[in-house]
Amino acid sequence: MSVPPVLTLDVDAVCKSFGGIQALTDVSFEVRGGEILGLIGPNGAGKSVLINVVSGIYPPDSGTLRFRGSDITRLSSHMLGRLGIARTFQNIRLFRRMTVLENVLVAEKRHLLRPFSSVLGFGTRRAEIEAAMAGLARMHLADRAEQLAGTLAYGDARRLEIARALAGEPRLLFLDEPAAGMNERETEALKEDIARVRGAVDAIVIVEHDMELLRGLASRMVALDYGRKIAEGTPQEVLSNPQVVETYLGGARHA
Amino acid sequence: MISDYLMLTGLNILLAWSVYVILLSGSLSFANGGFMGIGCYAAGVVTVKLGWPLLLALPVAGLAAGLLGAVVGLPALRTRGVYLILVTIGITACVKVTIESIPYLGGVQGFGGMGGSALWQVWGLVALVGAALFALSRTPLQRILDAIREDETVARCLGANVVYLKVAMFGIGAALAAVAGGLYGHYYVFVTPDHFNILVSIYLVLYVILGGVNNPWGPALGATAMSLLPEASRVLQDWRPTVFGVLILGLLLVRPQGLLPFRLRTARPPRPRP
Amino acid sequence: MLAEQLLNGVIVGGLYALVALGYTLVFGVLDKLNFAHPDIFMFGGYVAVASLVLGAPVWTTVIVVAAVTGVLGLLVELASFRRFTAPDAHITAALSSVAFGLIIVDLVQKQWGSEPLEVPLEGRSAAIVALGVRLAYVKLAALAATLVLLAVLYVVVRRTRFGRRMRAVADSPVSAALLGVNVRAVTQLVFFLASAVAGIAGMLRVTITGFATSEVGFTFGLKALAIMAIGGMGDLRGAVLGGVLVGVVEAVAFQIGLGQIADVAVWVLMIAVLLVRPAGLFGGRHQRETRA
Repeated sequence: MSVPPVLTLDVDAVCKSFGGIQALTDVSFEVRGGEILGLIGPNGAGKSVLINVVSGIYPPDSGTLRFRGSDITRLSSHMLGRLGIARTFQNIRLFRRMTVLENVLVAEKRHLLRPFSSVLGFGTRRAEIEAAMAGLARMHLADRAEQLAGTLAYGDARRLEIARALAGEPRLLFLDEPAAGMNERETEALKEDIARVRGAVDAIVIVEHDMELLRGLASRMVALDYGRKIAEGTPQEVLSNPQVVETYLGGARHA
Repeated sequence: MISDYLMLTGLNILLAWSVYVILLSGSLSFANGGFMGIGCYAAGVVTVKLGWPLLLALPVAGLAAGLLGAVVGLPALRTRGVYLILVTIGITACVKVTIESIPYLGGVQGFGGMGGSALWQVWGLVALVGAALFALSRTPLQRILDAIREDETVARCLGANVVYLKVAMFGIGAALAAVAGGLYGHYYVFVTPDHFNILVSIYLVLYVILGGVNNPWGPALGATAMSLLPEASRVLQDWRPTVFGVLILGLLLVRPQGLLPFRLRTARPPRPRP
Repeated sequence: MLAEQLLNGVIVGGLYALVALGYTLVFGVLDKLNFAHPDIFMFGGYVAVASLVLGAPVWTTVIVVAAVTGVLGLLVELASFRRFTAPDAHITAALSSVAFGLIIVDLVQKQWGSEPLEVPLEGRSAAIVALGVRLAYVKLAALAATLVLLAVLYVVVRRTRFGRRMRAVADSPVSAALLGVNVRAVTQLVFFLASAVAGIAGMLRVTITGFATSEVGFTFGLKALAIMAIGGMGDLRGAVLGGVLVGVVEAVAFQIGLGQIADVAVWVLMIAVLLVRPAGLFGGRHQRETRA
C-alpha cells in the first residue's frame, strides 16, 4: 500500500491569455515532493508563461494553484517568494552591478522580511557571509565572490542565478531553460550541480528543450504544446506519447 | 556672511539627501521642493502661531510631511520613470498653489516671523544624517534597495516587498526635506510659496545627479559644489543656472554616473581565519 | 462677462493645445519627454518682441520666430536626446532637457532682464464689439492663427508622407527603420516642427498679454505638460481637446471666483489620470513596442 505523494505544487485548470492570445488553456499537473519534474514543449508552448504565473508575475485568468496544500492563486510575487517558491529566468536576470556575493546575500529571507530591522544588526554577520560563500562554493563560484555579476561568463552567470535562487532556502525551485546555450560538457556539469543540490529543496521543476539535461535527472515529465498539457508521466511514458513525438518531430532537440 | 554660505550649503546637503533617499528605492522625485515647503510652513505655524519651540516644531513638521508623503506615495509610486516625474512635479505644483490659497498661511504674500534656527542645528543634522546614510550603506537594507533598483521584478520574486520599501523611503525623504524646510524658514524669517516651486525641486534633483547617485557622498558633493562655487567667483554666481545646466548636460553625455560614481560594497568575503 | 471669459478660455486653451501638441509629437516618436519645450515656448515670445523691436512686420516676425525656435529645438535634440536612444534612457534624456531648459531661461534673463518685456505692437488694445462682447483684434487674430496652425498640423500628420513616416516611427521605430524610414531625420523634423509651433504659440501669447516674461515656461508651459498627460500621452487629439477643456474650465472658474482652485484642479486631475487611466481622458491606447 503506497502512501499518497506529498504534493508540493498542484496546478489545476490554469488559463492565461494576453489580449486575445490564449497562452495557457486548462493546464493541470502536479509536482510531488522529492522529485525533479521536467516541463517540456516547443517554443511558444507556454512554458515560461506558466512559470511566470506560478511565481506571481501574472495572475491566472482562471484555475487554482495550491502550494503544499494552501491556495496561492491570488498571491503576489513577493508573497510567493517568501512562502518558498524560487525561480530562475530564461534570459538570466542577475543584479549586474552588484558582486556575486551580494547577489546571493540579497536572497537572505530574514532581511527581506524585516528590511528596516536589518539595519540594527549593523552589518552582515560573519555567519551569514560564510553560509553564502558555502552556497557559492557548491556552485563553483566561491573564487568569484568579489566579481561584479555583470562581468561573469555565461556558464558562471547561470550558476549564480541558481545559487541565488537556492540562497533563500526555497521549497520549490523552477529552473527556466538552465542549459540554454551550453555545450555538452557544460550541460553535464550543470546536471551534476542540480543533482547535488536537489536535497536542499522539496522539488525542482526544470523547463527545458534539451532532453540531455533531463535524461537521468527528471523522474517525471509534463509536456505542453500550444498552451495545453498533452502528456504527464514518467519520461518513458511522455516521450513515447504519439502527440509528443509528433510535436518534437523535426527537432526541438537542443542543437 | 560666512554663516550664510554655511547655512545654505548645509540645508542644500540635507535637501539633496532627501532626494537621494527616495532615489535609493528607484524613484526620482521632483516633489521635494513641495515637501520642503510643507515642512517650512508646518514648522512656522507651530512656532509662530502656537508658540512652540523650534526643536519641537521640526519633528512635528517632519512627521506630518512624512505621513503625507507615505499616503501620497502609495498610489503615486505605482507609476514609473517619466510618469513618476510628472506626478511628483504635480505634487510640488499642488503644494505651492494650495499654500497660496490659504489666507491663514499668508497666501501669496508670504509668511513671516520665524526665527531661531542656528548653524549647529543644521550641521548637527548633516552629521547625523550623513552618519546614518553611511551606516546604511553597509547593511542588508542597502543591498535590498540596490537590488530593487537593479531589477525590481527579480527582487520581488526573492521576497522583497517593493511597494512597502518605496513608500517608506518616499516618506523618509519627505520628512527629511520637511525638516530642512523648517530650518530654512527659521533662518530666513520670511518665506513665500514661490520659495518652494518647481525650480527648487529641479535643482535638488540636479545636485544629486551632479554629485553621483551611487553613494551618499555624491549628493553632498553636488549640493556643496553648487552652493559654494558661485561664492568663489563672481562670474559663476551671475551665471549659476547656465553653468549648472552646462555642467549637467556635459556630465550626462560623458559621465552620467556623476562626479563620484563609485558604489560601496555592502559585504565582502571573509578574510581567511589564521 | 461669461461669454467674453469663455472666449478667452477657448483662446488660451488653443495656446495650451499648441504647446501640448509639441510635447505630444516628441513623446510620440521618442517615447521621451522634452522638458526644454516650455522654455522654447517662452523663448518664442522673446524672439517675437526682439523682431518687432527691430521693426519687422508681423508676418516676417512669425517666420523668424518659427525658424529660430525650430533651430533651438534641433539643438535640444542634439544635446539632450541624440545620444540617449536606449529605451531605459528616458530619465537621462529628461534630465538633460531639464538642464537645457535652465540654460535657455538664464540666457533669456541675461539678455533681456528679469522684468516683463513690453511688446511693441500698435493697436493692441483695439477691439470690436459684437453682441455685447468685446473682442480684441489681437485675440481674434491669435485664435485665427491657432486654428490655422492646428489645421496645418492636422494635414501634416494625417495627409503627408512625412506624417505617415512620423506615425510609423511613433508606432515602432524598429519596424519603421526596417521599412526604410530615416528615423533620425524624422525625429529631427518632429523636434523642429514641435518647437516652431511652440515658438509661435509663445509669440501669440505675448501679443495677447502685451508682455514677455521668463517664468511663463514654468507656469504656462508646465501646465501644458499636465494637459498632455490628461489628454493622453502621445495622443494628438487628446492634447487639443485637453488644452481647450482646461482653458475653458480655468476661464469659467476665474469668472466665478474660484480661480485658484482651477490651478490645483489641473494638477490633481493630471495625477488622477496618470494613476487611474494612463491612456488619458480622450486618448485611445498608445501602445508602443519598447514601452518600459
